[in-house]
Amino acid sequence: MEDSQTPGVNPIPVQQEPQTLQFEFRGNGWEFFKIWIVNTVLTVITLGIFSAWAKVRTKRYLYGNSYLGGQNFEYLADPIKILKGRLIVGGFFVLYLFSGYVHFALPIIFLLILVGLTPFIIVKSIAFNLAYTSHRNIRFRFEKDYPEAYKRYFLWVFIMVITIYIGFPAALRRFYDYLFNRVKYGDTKFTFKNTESLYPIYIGAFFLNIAIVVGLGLIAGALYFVVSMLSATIAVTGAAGFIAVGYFAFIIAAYGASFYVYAVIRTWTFEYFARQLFIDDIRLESHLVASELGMLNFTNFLLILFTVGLGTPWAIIRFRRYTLEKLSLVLPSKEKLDQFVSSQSKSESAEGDAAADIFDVDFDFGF
Amino acid sequence: MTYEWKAEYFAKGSSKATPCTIRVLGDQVFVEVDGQTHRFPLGEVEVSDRLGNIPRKVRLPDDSMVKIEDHPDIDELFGTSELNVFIHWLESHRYAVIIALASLISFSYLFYFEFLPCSAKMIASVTPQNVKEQLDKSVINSLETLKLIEPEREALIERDDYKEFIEQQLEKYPELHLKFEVIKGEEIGPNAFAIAGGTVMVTEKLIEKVGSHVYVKAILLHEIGHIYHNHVLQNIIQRMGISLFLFAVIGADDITAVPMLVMSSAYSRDLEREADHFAADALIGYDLEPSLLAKALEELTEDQPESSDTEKQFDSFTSTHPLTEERSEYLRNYQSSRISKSDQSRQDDDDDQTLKEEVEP
Ligand SMILES: [Zn+2]
Repeated sequence: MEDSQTPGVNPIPVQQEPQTLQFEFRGNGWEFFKIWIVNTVLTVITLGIFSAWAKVRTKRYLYGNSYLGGQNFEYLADPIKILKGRLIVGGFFVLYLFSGYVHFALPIIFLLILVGLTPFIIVKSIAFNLAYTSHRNIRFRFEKDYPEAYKRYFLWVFIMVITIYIGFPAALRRFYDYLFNRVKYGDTKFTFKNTESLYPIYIGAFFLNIAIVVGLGLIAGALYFVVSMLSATIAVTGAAGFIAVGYFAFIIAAYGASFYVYAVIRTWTFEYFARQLFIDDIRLESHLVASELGMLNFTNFLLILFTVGLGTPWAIIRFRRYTLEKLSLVLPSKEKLDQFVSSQSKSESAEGDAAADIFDVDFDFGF
Repeated sequence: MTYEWKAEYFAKGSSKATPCTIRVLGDQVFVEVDGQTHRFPLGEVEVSDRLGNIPRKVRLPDDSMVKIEDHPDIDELFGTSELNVFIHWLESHRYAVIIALASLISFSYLFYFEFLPCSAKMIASVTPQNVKEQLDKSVINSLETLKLIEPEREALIERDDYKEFIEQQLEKYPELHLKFEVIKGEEIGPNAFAIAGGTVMVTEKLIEKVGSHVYVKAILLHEIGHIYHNHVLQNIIQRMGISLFLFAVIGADDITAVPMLVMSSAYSRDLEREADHFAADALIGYDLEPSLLAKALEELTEDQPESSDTEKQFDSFTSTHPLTEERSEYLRNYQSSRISKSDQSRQDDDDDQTLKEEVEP
């Protein structure tokens, strides 16, 4: 591949400059559509049994086409384990549905059990997904800490509830801190510095949202005023049509704006990660542009809507390509990627539990 | 056939990619890397499944790995699973994809309109009576908790106008465990509904609104039809089946936020027709016109007032039983096809004259 040295040429020692390595996505919409539709049909005709295999194939395709430094990622989960997890959830769901007919309080008890298990399930899912993600024959890992997860989860859910979600950015920061400081790539730990608050991002997004809605409202109001002034002179039906179109345009614009605000949050969050998150002496660089990402998500939404879901694979490919290729790593030297090790054996890396995949809490780097 | 590839080698626990050559000869795999040759028995080597054209990973018994760019000969050489070869064949052929698309659409159609109602009907028909009664108890319980019906309800059989009619029904369908109750509260408007175990509830408001007892009885017969054909349970099972199906197919998948299908609480048109059919037959048995039911529903829908919030919540009888033109036409034409038979039934059911006398005093 590209980093193999030509034999016979004596490399002149040069001072190592930091290297920027961009992520790369080689997936293709039509190819992915074929995979997606075949797997969907197999899922349907097997009454859902195949869904576990479909999920693994989908993720394998997306991971397998995500490249860094000429090497692709891998998703290695065993569909049987995912199927077991889904059967457990399905059974729970059936019990939940029926329980209401036996006694009206039973569904509430089921929900309470679910709430009590939530931190466990989240941690388990993260660990499962990471343990089966691999790059260059090295797997990721998650160091589970259940007591800490329970403490943080219930404390911060409580704080969020009593502060009517004003505590959300603080809670999210605690979650990132818990998550990223327990991730390992082989034997190498991730470091999340946790020195910066998330409030600037969410307060900024909040005011941006208000400004957009007020701005759109003012424009709509001004247009309405102009049209109603003109309607005295031009045909009334024409004016009514114009107002209807204007109203429709306002709704679309307001909806599009919500995509933009979401994209702004994601963009700022990735810049935040770039400042906070390190793998040894490797750092992250994000080149996301909020307006591009917002437009991408908006057009993806329209694509899915107007194809009754059949455009979904293309939407996924577009999203992955954009978000991944706007991400790069800054390494001290090009050889850095060759130097990771894992002392873990194959059996140690297996995340055995069946119910691991319940919520599909996917931890991946935005792809 | 190719049996040798230029590839990349990753030693156990190392992220370093080293150029190598991998060769399959007989039942042995040879990996040549840095001038050394490693040999492994083919049976202990695992190859990742073919998917799109992502690189294939050959996992060797010593936890090292070889990455080969995808090649069609790999599967044959390494002997990977037939099933995966077949799935990949499907995924890479245009016609297979078109067939998949067509079958997806037809399967969804068949599942929703044929398989699900049919299997729900079967399950409903084998459900024992005590399960249905258990179900009823909880339904009644929640209706009482929501204050939609009052806990003390009058039995309709206590009313002289209905006594004989109800006794006839109880005698005719002992296996249905029928029970008729009147709801006096105004919460759910003019309404009548059946629950699984055989209880039919009718509101005082409905009785007032349709005016004639014959009309009320026509509506009651329609409700008995729902019980006779097990529709209540069938409906519950069907809706559960749909949510389970949605859960299995699209349920837990991340980005595919497919707009969820809106499920109506009303019976399907087929079930309504079946209940209408039942009521029509029963009316003919009384030597009455099946169109009576249509007239009863017309009375009910006439100058319908703005429904209150609770009514909307509960779905009043008229909104879950819309009197469509098609339905009313069906009821009006029903008799003509049965004329010859009704002559016979007049002689059979001598004691079924009560209804007729009421409507033609
Ligand atoms: Zn009905």
